[in-house]
Formats: sequence, structure tokens, C-alpha cells
Amino acid sequence: MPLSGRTQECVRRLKEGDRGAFDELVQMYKGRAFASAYGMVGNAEDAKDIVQEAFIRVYTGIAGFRGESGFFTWFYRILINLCRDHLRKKVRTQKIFLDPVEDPQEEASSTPEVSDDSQNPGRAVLEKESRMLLEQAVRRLPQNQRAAFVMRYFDGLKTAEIAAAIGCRPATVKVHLFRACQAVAQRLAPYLRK
Amino acid sequence: MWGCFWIRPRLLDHLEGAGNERDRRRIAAHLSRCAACRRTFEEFRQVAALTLQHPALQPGDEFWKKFDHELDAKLNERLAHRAAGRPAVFPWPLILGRKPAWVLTSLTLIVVVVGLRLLSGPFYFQPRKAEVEVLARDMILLDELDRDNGVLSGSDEDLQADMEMLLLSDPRALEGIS
Repeated sequence: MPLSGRTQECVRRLKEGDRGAFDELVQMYKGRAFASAYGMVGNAEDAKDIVQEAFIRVYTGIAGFRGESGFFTWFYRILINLCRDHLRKKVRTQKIFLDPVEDPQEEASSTPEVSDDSQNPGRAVLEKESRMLLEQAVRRLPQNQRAAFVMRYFDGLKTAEIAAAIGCRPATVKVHLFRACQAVAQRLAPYLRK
Repeated sequence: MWGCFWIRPRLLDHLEGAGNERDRRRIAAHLSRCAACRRTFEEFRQVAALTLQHPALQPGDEFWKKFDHELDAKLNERLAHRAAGRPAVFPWPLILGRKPAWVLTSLTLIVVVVGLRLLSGPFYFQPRKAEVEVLARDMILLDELDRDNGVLSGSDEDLQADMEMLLLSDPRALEGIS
């Protein structure tokens, strides 16, 4: 069964109260959701909590899902809104505790290990450095630009899907993407010239 | 000829191979002529290539095991909370509804205080009696001083001020005068 058909089937069963269908949906979307949330908030623990909360809201609010948009779009909208709330709270906390500078070492330590590069340590260091620079550049983008950039380049969503998730017009998404790419290129300029 | 303002918003689509063949040819022709747009396009291409080099993070099995376990626990807790019927927000209206005596007493007290204040007279400024007496005495002394110096004013403003001061010191001073 194709993914969209399986999703529809799971949503139907979940509406009938089938917890197994919920587990299937979690298995289908948790990877992509985590990648997007991590791209948005830049911290694995926070991203994990956000994705879990998004799934809980899916379970508790599935009765309100009328199927006008796809399940994926609806779910992404919940996820992106939770990420925004989290970032807003974080900014508020940073303002209160006068801690505007993020510590790159702390950020790096919060990154979950992905692959084993022990075969080529030199390359692994370069890879890690470029990933860190890219993540830092993305993290400094304004919220909507960051969301559009993450969904397009880390998650491969189409413009219309991003527009539905962010809640704006496709033309606005294109503007966000253009500005985000410009800003990222500007911040990575020394690295890109190498 | 198409200008940079038309080309630049379409550079990302061009990079991804979107758009029709005619537009793609026009954009390619513009890029071959315009160094600024070519530089922007090259930057976008490099950023896109970098994101491809670093695909989305996917943690290991241990992480997902912990994730599933925590999600299960959190969902159960939330469902239990809902089943218990405890609202998530502090229910002020319900609390007040359960204690009608307190609410009624507070409201009665407020009504009585406001009513008494309204009955006691108007809210505009009223000097105390002692203050008015001091002011009137000072005024008389000043008038006597002016009279002694031969500069006592008989202007309408000064007379009106004197009358107001007189009324302040004794509101019934002019009663009976037609």
C-alpha cells in the first residue's frame, strides 16, 4: 500500500480509537518530524519533546481533523507551531536571564551521533565542521525563513506543502526561501569559497 | 530583455529545474550576461549542495527506543488526566461558583462602600474647614496691608476671588442677600 493510502487508513482507524494505528503513524512520520524539529530548534532533547507533544496532539485532536488537507500537512502545522512556541519561550528566557549568546560547544554536544566516520577521521572532522556551520547559519534565520529552509532542504517538502504548514501563500514561501538562502550563503561565504 | 528583478525570484526554481522550457532558456541567457545574478545563483547552488551533503539527522535505535517509551508514557499520563476530568487550567469560575457566600459578601461590601461614598457628597475637591479659615484670615490681612499702602485692588477679578473665598469658608455667607 502506498504511504498516503496507508496514512489515510491509519487516520480512519485512529478516529475509531485504534491505538495501534497511532503507533503506525508515529513510526511512519517520527523520523521526518524529528529532522524538521531539530532543524528548527537546534537541540535534540527539545526536538524530541516537541515531536512527542505533536504526536500526543494528533492523538487527542484527531476528531477535529476533517481531512480537508492531507494528514501530513495537518501534522506539520502542529509541529511547526510547537517549534515556534518553543523558540518564543526560549527567546523570552534568554532575555530574562541575559544570555543571548549560544554556546557552540553546548550545541554540538546536544547533537545526536549519526554515523561512524572512524575510517577517515580527517574527513569526519571536516564534515562535522561544515554541518555545524550550516546548522548555526540556519539557526540564526528568522523563524519563518528557518521553517521554510528546513522543510525544503532538509525535508524535501514542496512549496505548496510548506505554505500549508507555515500558513502563508506559496509566493511568500518563495520569498522566505530566497532570503534564507541569501542569508545562509552570506554566513557560509568563507567556507563556500574554500 | 528581462531584468534582474524578474530573474532573481526565479533563481531557486531554476536551480531545482522547475519552470517551463522558455523561462529556463531566458534565465540561462540572463545568467550568461549578468555577473551579479550569476554570483547569487552560484551561492544558492553551493548552499543546496551543502544541504545535500548533510541530510537530515537521524538518531540511532537507542534514541528511538527511548522516544517510543517516553511517548507512550506521556500519552498514557495525558489520557489518564483527561479521564479523571481535571481541567488543565485553573478553574476560577468554578471555584467562585462553589463559594457563593464569599462572592455575595464581597459584592455586598463593595456596594455598601461605594453607596456610602456617593451619599456623603460630591467627589470634587473640598478644602477642610481649618484650611479655609487660615486662607480667609490671610486674605483679610493682605487686604488690610494693601489698604494701608493705598493699593487695595477693586478689580472685578479680585472681588470675584474674594467672593469665592468667602463662599468656601462659609457656604451660607451670602444667603438672604438678594
